[in-house]
Amino acid sequence: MLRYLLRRLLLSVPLLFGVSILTFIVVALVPGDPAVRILGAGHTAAEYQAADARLGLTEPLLVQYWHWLDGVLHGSLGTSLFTIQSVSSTIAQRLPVTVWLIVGATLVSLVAGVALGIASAVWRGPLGRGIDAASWVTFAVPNFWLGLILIEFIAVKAHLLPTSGFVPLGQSSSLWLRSLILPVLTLAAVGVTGVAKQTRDAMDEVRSREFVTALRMAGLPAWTILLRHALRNAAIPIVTTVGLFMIAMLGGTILVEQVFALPGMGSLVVQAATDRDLPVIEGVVLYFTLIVIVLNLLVDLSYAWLNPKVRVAS
Amino acid sequence: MSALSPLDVAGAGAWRGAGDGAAPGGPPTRPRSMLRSLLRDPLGAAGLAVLVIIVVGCAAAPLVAPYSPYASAFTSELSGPTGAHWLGTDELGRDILSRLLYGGQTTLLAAALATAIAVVIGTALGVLGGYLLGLTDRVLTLWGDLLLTIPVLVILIVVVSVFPNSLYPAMLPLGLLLSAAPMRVIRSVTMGIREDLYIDAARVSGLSHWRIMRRHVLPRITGPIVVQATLVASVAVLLACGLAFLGFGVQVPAPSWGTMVAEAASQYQQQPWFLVPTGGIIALTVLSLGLVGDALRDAVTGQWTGSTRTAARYRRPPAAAPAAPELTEGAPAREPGALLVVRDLAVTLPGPSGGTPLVSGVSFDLVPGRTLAIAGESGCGKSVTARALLGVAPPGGWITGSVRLDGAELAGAREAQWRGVRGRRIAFIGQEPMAGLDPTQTVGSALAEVIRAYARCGRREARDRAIHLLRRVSLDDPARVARLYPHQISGGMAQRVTIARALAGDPEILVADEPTTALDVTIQAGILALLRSLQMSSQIALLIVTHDWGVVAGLADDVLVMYAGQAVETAPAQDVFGQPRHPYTEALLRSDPHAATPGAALPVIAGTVPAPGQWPSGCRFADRCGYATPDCTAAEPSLAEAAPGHDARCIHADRVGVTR
Amino acid sequence: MTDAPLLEVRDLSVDFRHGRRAFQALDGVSLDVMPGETVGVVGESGAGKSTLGRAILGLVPVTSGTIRFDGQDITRAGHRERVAIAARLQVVFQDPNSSLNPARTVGSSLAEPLLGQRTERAEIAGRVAAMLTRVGLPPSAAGRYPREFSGGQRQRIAIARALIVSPALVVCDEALSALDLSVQAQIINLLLELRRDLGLAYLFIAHDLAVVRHLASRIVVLRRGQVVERGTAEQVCEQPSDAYTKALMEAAPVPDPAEERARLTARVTLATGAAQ
Repeated sequence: MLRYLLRRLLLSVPLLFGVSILTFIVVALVPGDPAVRILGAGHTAAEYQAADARLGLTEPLLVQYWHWLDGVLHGSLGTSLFTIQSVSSTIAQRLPVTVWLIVGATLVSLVAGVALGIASAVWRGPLGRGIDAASWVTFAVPNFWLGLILIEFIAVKAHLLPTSGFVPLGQSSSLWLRSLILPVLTLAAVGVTGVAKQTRDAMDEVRSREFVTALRMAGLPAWTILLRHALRNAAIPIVTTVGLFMIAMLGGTILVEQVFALPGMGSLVVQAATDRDLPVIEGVVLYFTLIVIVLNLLVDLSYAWLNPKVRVAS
Repeated sequence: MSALSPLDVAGAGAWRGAGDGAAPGGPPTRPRSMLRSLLRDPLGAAGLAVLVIIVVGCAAAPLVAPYSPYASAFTSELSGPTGAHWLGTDELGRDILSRLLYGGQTTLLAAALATAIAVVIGTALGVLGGYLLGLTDRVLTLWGDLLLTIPVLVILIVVVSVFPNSLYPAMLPLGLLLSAAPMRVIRSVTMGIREDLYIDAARVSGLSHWRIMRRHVLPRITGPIVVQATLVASVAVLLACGLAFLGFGVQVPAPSWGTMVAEAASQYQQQPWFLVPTGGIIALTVLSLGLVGDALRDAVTGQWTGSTRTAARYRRPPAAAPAAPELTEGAPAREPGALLVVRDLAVTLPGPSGGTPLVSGVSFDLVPGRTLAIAGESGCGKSVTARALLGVAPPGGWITGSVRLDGAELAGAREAQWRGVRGRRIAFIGQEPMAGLDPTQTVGSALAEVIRAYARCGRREARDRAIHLLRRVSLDDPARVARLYPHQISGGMAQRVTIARALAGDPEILVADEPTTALDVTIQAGILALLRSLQMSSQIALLIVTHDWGVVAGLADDVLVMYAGQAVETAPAQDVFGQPRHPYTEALLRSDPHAATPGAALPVIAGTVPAPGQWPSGCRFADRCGYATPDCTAAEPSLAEAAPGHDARCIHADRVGVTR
Repeated sequence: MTDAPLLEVRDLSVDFRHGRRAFQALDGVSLDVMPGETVGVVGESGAGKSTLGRAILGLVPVTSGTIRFDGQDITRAGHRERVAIAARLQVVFQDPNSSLNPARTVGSSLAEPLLGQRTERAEIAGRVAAMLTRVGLPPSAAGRYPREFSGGQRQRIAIARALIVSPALVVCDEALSALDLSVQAQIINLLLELRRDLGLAYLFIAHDLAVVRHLASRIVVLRRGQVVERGTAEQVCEQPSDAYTKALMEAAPVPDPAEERARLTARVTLATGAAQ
């Protein structure tokens, strides 16, 4: 098992390289001159040229990439073309927001989704059909639109929660929580129903397996079989689904942060893309990829823990 | 009146028998049949209709839209739905409906482009990997994993910032990134097909790989391809709208669904209605795609729908009083010292005219220290009978008749009562040894769990008892075996573990359903010897269900032969082999190659076994029987005594075997 | 009958590699099948019987050794050679459910070997109908789907498919194992009849000794990829010389109460004696 995980880790390294090279090339293709953006209009060509040279943008692409790579290997992601701030510190400021969003949404999806799924597997009928319907509706409704609706009804009309903005945990834990509730719910909506549906399907599949009948024949109580045995066996497809949703939610944070004006990585990348701020874009892409890799590894780790065949060689 | 349990799930599952039985239908593969199954599902048909309306409406926008998307009317800005503007107007007085129709063109075209790319690449690579396997597959799987690790929206934003005025360039990388999901699915479907024997047969017949793919693989994957296409299209629509919402890829004042949501958001204070049609059209499009995909997936997977549909259509008749436990006509006399007395046992599934019986009128006794074998071929109902003794009926079905354990009536008991009996007084071991064990639980833990369920004892004590049980079933080094998982032990060992679990509650009766069928012959001998020695030491009453007459010969004291849901002959084992009294038993024993001269034609029974629900009236074996006369089909014969202690359901029992 | 064997297997070894681990499925197996003869291959699970059949049919790659068919070395035959072999060497598999494509009609499945042989389209329908009749099914079956038939009938269809090209040798890979006793008897009779009428040779792979005894003139016993015994059916079944074969014969249950009871009692005494 250790070898399996090590292999996955090793494969991630070339991936990070690949993604960074790809991003570099793509952004370098961007027409337009960042210097114009920075200095504003109405300067001479020579001044723009000088600005470009200072920013290192006149050198060949490969050299630029090498400089950046060299920086990364020394722990620095470079400096923003626009704010003079180091990319690493910008990301460090923004990362917690995104992480809270993902962690919160994952927890909500997992807990609510699994509970609903088990409930609908046991008490069939309207609950099951309701979940099917809800899962399609939450998938179909764009999350940015859902966020807007939630803001309108809960924040504006009912004044229950703030409409936007983020309060850091250090400042006030209750305000922090309140600022996260609506965004997390928006992000988790599709996850809850998707996980519920997958849980229900996985439980149904496990329940039709021979060992469940055998345990019933042995006289074990139904709920013990359901929760201790069926759920454990259904856990793997459920975890797979949660993993997929986590990665999808990563993209979702970009939209949700826009709607709720949260200063996270998502809104950072939107701004950087508009500004053609290459170092920031590179840094954000790197971090997003890293997060995906970490999430995948977590999923793989849980497979290994859940599935004895992976844990113990036969 | 079978006990219902939250564990009952509608579906074939453990009730699928081996041997002769019509398999479920193959999935539809041709476009026309797919369309037909789609239209049959009301939700799928509705989804398809809505989708077609939206696509056609947007495509024909110049013809259908009431206004130009750029026509502003400053007198009616931000109005709600009116007669002139069905969906209202935006902040520049432009008609929302028209802008949605024109905007749909960009959005839908972009999504279609991404979907096409994703599906073509995904299918091609998935088929290649799944069919060729080996190195090709490993490389392609790696490629897919890599694709899935790339954060989609981020890359899209980066790409779209290069070409700020159009969504289409971003659709190429989107298609590439989204191809990973269909690739995985198509690959696994192809791998499944690849393992089917008809592929091997085609290779033996000399067909080339290409020909095999075209003939066998591609038709079977058309369904999954379409399903994946709807999924990818849904995601593509949402992502395209998301990009536009963020302000990427669309040049104002060109309309697009995503930008219109952003406009609606900014105008929210003045006109909340604006949000409704703009978000609604996106949701409606994705929803209809999803409904179509779901409906197709159900059709294409070819689910076993039998029991669910009939269960819904037919309800159980109101509970009838259980059959009186005294001697019913033709039932065998009660055996002395009988522990379990079964009379007129019947198991019925929901169906027309009161239900479809699987088993009817079966009666027998179980005596401690003696073995009863229920013998017969597939579909005769022997497994169903065995499970009914533990109160378990096939999904949707119910059990009637009388089952008395030590005088106490069990039939009609509720699930809670049955739980007191299962494992503690009557234990069960099934056919597939490995499948009967929870793969996520060690052997020792599985045993300890049931031990603690039956008797209050601590963890340590339960473990010790578990190891003791493992030793009792002759497993070497029981302490080591207790720490193993089911996948680490052999089939024979697994069956011994199952027997150990059955013994954990110290039952008086052991019901074994084909316990050795899945095992090798040398292992089988060991298991049968084990059952015999356990019986001798604890005087357990053993009921063994089997199709193998050799097993019957070795283990059984008494035999009950079943055919088409009925008991057709009951007798001591010696008498059944020596002088069978029912034509079916006689014919079955004679068709055994053990008894025949090598190379000679075997005496066969013409025809096939009738399926439940299609049993002929009168004697169910008459149309295949060599002794049949017109009287046989007139009325159903009852189980009558043909010789002392030997009953047969045949009016010609006295003539059977006389010619030998 | 000619003297040259139809099928000659010499020192056949097949290894399966799974990552770093290698598993030897067959180890130096040799056997012959003469024209018109039935050779039985018996053994328990893991013995390698199916691998042997599949290697002969070209479905698994061979690590070492040779397979000669009709005098030609087919051990590593390419696609062209396989097409030629397909006219003389065919197969009937075990599972009547998955040996026929459920999405294709019976006629279409039966036509497949003919397609492999580039038979004229006009001829195909006639041969399909003839073959269906030969195996005891109505010619109208060609237009129906496998799901409309019982397991025994589907096995007949599989046999029809194998015989439609008039092969010389048919590999039966556990062809009867999934069938009930009465259905099995019907199919055994069909195989005997076809053998008599068409002069077929069978390589009959099975784990059921009684069935193999009934059909085969010679038997080869496999254990863990190696041949442990070979001889005429009578020799192997009645006077086995190898210890494993003896154990196999002794363990296989026979429908004779007196005999089986005695065996069982002996085994129980042995077991309880050993435990003490």
